[in-house]
Amino acid sequence: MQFQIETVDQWQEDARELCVQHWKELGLDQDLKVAPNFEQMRVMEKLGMWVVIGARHEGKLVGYLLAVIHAHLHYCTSPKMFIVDAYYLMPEFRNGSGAKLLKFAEAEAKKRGAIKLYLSCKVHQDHSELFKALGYKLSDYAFIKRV
Amino acid sequence: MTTVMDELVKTEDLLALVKEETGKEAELDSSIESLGVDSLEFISLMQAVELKFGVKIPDQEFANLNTLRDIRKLL
Repeated sequence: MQFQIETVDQWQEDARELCVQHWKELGLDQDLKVAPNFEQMRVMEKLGMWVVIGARHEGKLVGYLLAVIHAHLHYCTSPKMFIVDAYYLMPEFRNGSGAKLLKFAEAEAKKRGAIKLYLSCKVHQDHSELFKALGYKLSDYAFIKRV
Repeated sequence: MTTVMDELVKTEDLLALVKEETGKEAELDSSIESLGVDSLEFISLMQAVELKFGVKIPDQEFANLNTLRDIRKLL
């Protein structure tokens, strides 16, 4: 498997189907239609705020990690922070590849001048032991409520 | 000076460590995938490698680790 930085344009073509698979497996709102806003991603990409890492096997997109990178709104004079928006790997490509994807993201974050990564996972697919093994510290609990 | 014997011992030590950590008999060209490890077990294995061989594997190298030979090259 290969991990690489991709543009939204490169990624979008192959990502539509995978985003749907991702949503079906992990999405909490199955009554809402999954519709990634590629146009908004392109705008953020132009501003240098959007990172797409593609995971490919023999050219086929089998996973990805998306992140926002910018100076934190509460610490705007400090270096950038790398906030992982979403990540996914097809189930048949998970044998250790999730750790490689995260390590690749860390290296990319450092390369782009970020000093901190934010990462979360679903409660029903808990990766917290992996995150801890990679050196992440639990910092927040997140709550969601439909109104 | 590193001798050929040192290099062979290092390879043997790596394979023994893999057996210890994963329970799998492996060869240098065995893929990481064939070890049947998940991401957490893979990270544990790599931490054991770093500890045993006194090395720190750079983050950017992890994505290129497809076989045990790839790990061996970094030791």
